[in-house]
Amino acid sequence: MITCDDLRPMLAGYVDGQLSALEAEAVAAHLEQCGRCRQILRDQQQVQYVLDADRPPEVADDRWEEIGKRLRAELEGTGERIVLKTRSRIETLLTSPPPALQDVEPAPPARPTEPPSPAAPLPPTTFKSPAVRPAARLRLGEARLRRGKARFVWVAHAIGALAAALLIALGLAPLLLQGPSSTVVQAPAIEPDTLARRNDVVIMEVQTMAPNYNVILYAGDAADVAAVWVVPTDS
Amino acid sequence: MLSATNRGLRMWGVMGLSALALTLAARGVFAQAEEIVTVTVLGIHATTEPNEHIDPALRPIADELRRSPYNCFRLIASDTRRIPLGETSKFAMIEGYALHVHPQKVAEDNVQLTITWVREGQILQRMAITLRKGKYFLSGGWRLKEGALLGAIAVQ
Repeated sequence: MITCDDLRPMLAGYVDGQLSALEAEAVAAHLEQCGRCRQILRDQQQVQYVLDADRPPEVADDRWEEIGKRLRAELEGTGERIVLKTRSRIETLLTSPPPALQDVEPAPPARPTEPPSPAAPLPPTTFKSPAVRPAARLRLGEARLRRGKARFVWVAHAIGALAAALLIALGLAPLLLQGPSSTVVQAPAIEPDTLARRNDVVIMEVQTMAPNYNVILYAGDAADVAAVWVVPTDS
Repeated sequence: MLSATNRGLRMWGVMGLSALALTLAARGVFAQAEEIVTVTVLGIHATTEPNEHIDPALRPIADELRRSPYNCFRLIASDTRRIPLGETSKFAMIEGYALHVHPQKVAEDNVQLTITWVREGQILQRMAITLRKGKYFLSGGWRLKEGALLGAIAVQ
């Protein structure tokens, strides 16, 4: 009886049917008893399925030259569009899940040396990937056009964002530069002609609450400079 | 795909125009609410001493200052502030004195304002005046430990 560690390196060959009948039988016997190895086998089959599904279509050797000519012609703008038959891996997985991954299917090994033993409860198998060869058609020109437009959308977004930021900055700049907190203001020079005279000031009201002061109001025609002085009564 | 491009351009266009409209509206609101008056306040310490002394900054108005009973004048405070209309700004002096300036109305060449002399929270004097822009209005004469405190106010 082989152990799990012995079996792991043989699993790939088991999936591909490249083990001898004896090895395949031993692996099958182990798989029957070991759920963990069965899970590993299923995972490997799934990976194999995806790889098989993503395999590019086979092209006959004599077709390569013709395809090359048509590609050159298309790139130069004189030929027809080339239709590549392909399908993305994700699309393949989404549209066609592998049908039989729950249990291994019986299949003869690739190099059978002897027929499988009837006593073997789980004969060696290989997973046959379903026929999900790519069917979607992607035109090369359309792909190029799509890439170009996607780039243009990003450029448009970037220009729009810049323009919006510029407008906001232009609108807010005067507010930020001339806010009420700004105190950089040039004070008027104090000169004889900058003192307020009779025509420069209108004294509408003077209320003096402090006791012991006399108020002297200079605002009449005779005053050179309009001012309101207080003088202590005891001075 | 092309429609996606148009959608992107249209989206940014709408956002840009909205931002512009908002900022213009904000500027309009600020301009209305924040009519600002520039106020300069000078504090002058006047004393009587054996020898006359006048700060160089005050020499241009020495003749006016000499009309008071003092012969020495020192500039102890000089402050210029931008005060929004309707708000009061306090200019601190010495020995607990302060001058509160409250611009009320602005005309083309003058400003209507209230000036209040205060000492330690107590109002000493309140004046309502209309002052031509760029002119200094003199007031004060409040008693200090030595001499008196004068004030000069100008608006722009």
